[in-house]
Amino acid sequence: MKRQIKKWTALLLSAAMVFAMVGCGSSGEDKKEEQGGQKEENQTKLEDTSAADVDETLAAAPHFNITVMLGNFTDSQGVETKQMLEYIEKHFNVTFNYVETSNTTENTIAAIETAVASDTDGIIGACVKTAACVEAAGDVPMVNQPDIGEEMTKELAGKANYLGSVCEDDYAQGYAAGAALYEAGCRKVCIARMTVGISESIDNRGIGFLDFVAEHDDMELLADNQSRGQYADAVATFASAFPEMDGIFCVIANDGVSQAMVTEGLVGSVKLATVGYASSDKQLLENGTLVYCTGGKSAITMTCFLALYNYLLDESKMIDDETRLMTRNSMEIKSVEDFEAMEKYVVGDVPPYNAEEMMNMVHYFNEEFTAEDFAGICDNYTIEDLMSRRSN
Amino acid sequence: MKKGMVYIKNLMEVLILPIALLLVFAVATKGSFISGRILMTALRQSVMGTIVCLGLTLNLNMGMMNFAGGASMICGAVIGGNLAVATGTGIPGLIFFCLLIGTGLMTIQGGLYNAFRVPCVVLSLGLTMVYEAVPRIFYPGGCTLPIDMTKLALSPYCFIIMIVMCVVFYVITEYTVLGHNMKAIGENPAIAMGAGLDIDKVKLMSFILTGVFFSIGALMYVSKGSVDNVAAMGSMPVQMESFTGMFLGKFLGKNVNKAVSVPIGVFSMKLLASGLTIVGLNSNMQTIIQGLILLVLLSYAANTGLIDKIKADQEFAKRAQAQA
Repeated sequence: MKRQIKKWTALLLSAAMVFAMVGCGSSGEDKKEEQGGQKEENQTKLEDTSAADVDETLAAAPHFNITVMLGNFTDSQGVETKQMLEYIEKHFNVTFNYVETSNTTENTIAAIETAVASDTDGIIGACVKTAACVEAAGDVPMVNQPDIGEEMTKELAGKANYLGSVCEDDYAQGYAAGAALYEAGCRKVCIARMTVGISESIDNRGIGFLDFVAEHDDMELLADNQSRGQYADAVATFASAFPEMDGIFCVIANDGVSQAMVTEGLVGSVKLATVGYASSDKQLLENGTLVYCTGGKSAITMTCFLALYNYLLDESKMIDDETRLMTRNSMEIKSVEDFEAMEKYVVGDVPPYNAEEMMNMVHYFNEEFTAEDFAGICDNYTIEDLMSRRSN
Repeated sequence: MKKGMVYIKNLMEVLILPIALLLVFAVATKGSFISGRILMTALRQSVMGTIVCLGLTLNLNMGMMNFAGGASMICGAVIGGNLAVATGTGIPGLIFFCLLIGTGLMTIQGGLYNAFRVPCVVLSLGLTMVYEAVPRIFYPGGCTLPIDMTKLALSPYCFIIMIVMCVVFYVITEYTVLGHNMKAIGENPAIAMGAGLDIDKVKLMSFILTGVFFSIGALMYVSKGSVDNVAAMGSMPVQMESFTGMFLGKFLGKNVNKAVSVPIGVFSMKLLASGLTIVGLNSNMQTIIQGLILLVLLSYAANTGLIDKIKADQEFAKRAQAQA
């Protein structure tokens, strides 16, 4: 009897875990069935660019299953990324399989091995910190998205299936945040950052900021707080310990930090700079507290998708030099207008690149599109560029 | 009078750690650490941890380690917060929905525990994944509260809530039949069962009460402004943050109620973290120092019985020699 109960318990717990997995799994099962066996090469080319024609052209292209890995799809960047990928899935003939790696190498390798075993056609990787991750992918083409550093990029460049890395320049963002605080008159600053060693790209933001401070003799770093996400607490600690503080840099924006600026009474006396943005940041931009934040980072996965999709369709390589990181510009938000545009055009129903724009960035549909054009688009990724494209 | 002196002595045993930390950091910062604002900030930051620790202690007193605390808090905070915003019920709605969800989850957990007799650790780990996934289905973007709904995380409300929860804990553990039954089961389940206690019922009640504490913890968590969803055991840091404080409270306050020692333990940890940041130590050194201090204190606390035993043995040996 006791054994029976234990068996049932084990079954129930297994069911609970499966239920939990479903919560973060792909919703593309039915699509797979509809599109099964549709991999024959369709040589459809674009002739007309009306919305219906775009969808028709995209749908006629070969179907691919693509595995997308990210630390998680639950924070604001993860949710935005997933929304953008769902938009792509709606218009392109692809099925995404979403995998969360919690930014650990073990999970990444396990996820890649599982993806390869389930016949994935391509992988958009995250947390590829070792060459073993790329080797685990075997022959499956792979594009990497976070900043993995120049040395690792060079090491990975020799792998046949490795198509390159696309990332934002996190160091430059940290440095620019320091510059924005300096321009706003801040000379006694604090930094709230993620415990060093967890994420290289986030570490680089902090290093960029600290380098800026070190280069300016009239700027003083009062405190360097490292934690795993308790940035609002750090703001409160800074506020209580350093009444002379006039600037804070937080490596990740979140609403807790923005609200702590208000609740700790720092509005009017202390400026804030962050990487990323929080939904309540508009108010801080209005009252001049927030002097620098960035948006649209989640579109990096779209850029990775385009690099991978180009290769899958006709083996076009959009990152011609795999030995260097392809850095995509970040959208700097310094005013309420920028923030509103970003909310409207990046987080809204249509992502930073719509289906037609993306189609034109694929060599298979647009024979004139080259790796050079691709690099140019990455460099030109600004809020102004986005606003001008949408106003057209 | 004598009883009062004993209580003060016991209390001083618990207070010695935060006082020592204050003195050390006061010297290190040339006195600037002894500031009302720094202390109030550390105290405010320890509110959520204290409430979660008290909830965990209710389970731990009965030998059950519940790892689902962080996940149930995130689940309650995200769903409760969004429901309160959606229904426009403000802070009363937030309290109601957080309590409803948090207590409901722990009641289900208690029911499953009794029904299937799975060790609490295993059950809570399995349910952690479920609790993390559920809010992601309904509210994938997590929860962000408008600023007028975040007052409970501010002084004086957060302190009022903490005091109320400590008093509730104290009354439950010291003055109710349920509290005594929980203690009896925790110390010796076989004897408790032999004495006719309904162990299942007491354990279920313990889960429900834990749920109330986690619900208030969730309330304080979401009142900080926003809560992101998590996956793959990402809720663990939320709970782990309170663990060290809980063990400190448990070991340092052997002779006082946990309602007193746990808040002091959590506060000490926050004080330590703030002090090390203000002193300007880098994060690696901070982590090493925090770990070492914990190790020394817990080793000392865990071996105080051993030291007493050695002293008693030596005393006994002396007396035996004198008689011989």
